[in-house]
Amino acid sequence: MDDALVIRNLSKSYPDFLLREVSFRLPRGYIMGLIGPNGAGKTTIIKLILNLVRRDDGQIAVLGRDNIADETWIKQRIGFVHETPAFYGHLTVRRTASLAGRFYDAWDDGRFRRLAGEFGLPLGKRVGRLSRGMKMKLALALALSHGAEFLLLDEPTSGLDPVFRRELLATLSGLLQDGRTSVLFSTHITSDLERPADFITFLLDGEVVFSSSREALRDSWILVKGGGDLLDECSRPLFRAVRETPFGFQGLSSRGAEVRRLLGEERATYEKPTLDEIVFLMSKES
Amino acid sequence: MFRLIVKDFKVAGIFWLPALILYLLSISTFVQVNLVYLLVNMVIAFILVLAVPIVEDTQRLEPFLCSLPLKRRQVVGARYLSAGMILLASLAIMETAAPLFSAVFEIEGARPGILLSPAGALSFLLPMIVFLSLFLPLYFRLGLGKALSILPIVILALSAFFGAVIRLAAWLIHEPWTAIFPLDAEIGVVPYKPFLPLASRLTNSLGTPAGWALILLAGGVIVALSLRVSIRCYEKKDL
Repeated sequence: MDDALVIRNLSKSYPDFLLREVSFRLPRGYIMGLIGPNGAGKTTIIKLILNLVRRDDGQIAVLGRDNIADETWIKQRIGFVHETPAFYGHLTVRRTASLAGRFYDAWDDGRFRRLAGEFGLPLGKRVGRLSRGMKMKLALALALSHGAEFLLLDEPTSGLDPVFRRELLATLSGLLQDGRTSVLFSTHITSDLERPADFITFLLDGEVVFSSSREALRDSWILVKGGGDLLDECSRPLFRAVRETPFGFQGLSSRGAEVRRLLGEERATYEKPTLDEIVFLMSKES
Repeated sequence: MFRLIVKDFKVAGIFWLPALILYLLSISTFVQVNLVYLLVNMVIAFILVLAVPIVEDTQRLEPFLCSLPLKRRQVVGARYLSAGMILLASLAIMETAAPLFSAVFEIEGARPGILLSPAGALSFLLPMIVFLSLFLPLYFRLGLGKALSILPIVILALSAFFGAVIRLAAWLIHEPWTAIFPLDAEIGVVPYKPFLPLASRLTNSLGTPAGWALILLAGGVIVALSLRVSIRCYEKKDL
């Protein structure tokens, strides 16, 4: 299976933030959710993929090619949606599309117009007068109009109304019918990824906590709830993250069998955690 | 590269009409004093060069621009080319508008013909080339706001350095410094006067074509150095 994205030992340092030895891969034709709290490094990774910021160390291969050596080849095949889409505010939607389209060899103006119609984008309106949601739709329409094989979506649903969020997720699922388009979808709204994402990569403080398929994730983690007396020197090391309350505790563990054996089936309850619970508990622990 | 230049001119479209109105309003007043007329043309040309950076900086468009299938060196190269085209267009307008307006409105005391010479053109182009060659690397490294803040300091420092070099040269050849770079009241009417001694010495010693070729080469070297620095700065910049 060839990969849409391979990241190996990627590092980048800022005065107040460090991205450390990040590695993960996304097979072609799948959606990966890049999750983590604000400031975890999601946007930095996307900027590094696009070579908007320079990496200190490591490798990034997009569609099998190095993202710096073959930058323009790769960008011809990438559709990018920024978390705060910015365009020339004084140009109309139509002129913005014509301006962006000039740079892509495979630009399909008919497809852009179809998508603009579907998204309700007024072609004659100035971009500066569009709402944030409409600008996001414009960014998405532009990203989908040049036959992109790899979509990079940086927090595309934040600030959108629930109706368009659902539409966007449905559009993404529809795109993958062809089996050649891959998506890296960064978000801190984990519920957006419960259905469409095939793979999940969780970032925390600039490090990858895990990167695996959604099924593997659900199978490998367990959420344990029980009384506070169950937490002792023997049981605590089995948990990756623990949240204690006056009524008991919630613990996240990847060593389900050991936890069950130690705590027993009667004194504690065991559930498969949602993505939201995983992110919440691990972020709290951090 | 051509696509980027077209893009720049499309984006800067909103600035053309205000610039033209400003030009028409100022030209009849300033055409009588060549130095002020020259400065007005320089300011308008600089604003037109700044038009696209202003739009892209205020609307934070660099990530959008650099996510397009382009290399950063192409973005820098296109900016230099469009700046060059704006300078040449401004020079052409300056050279044709002054005599035209003087004749049409019969402005007394106007001597627009003074600028219609190679030295006159040089008095517009050379300062603009130096000015933009300093500004653009600062812009590509630091962004518009910081570049505009630092530029006056850089220009002051360079002026002091240039002044010191002229005085040193004058001391070495045992002549007053005004013989090398004359600055007097007449400069208001003859703005290219400081360039005359230098140009005439060069053309006398090398021949007219070779002298002018050398001056053009010097301009080209300044631009090439500036372009190289800009590309390095922009390629290192985190957006």
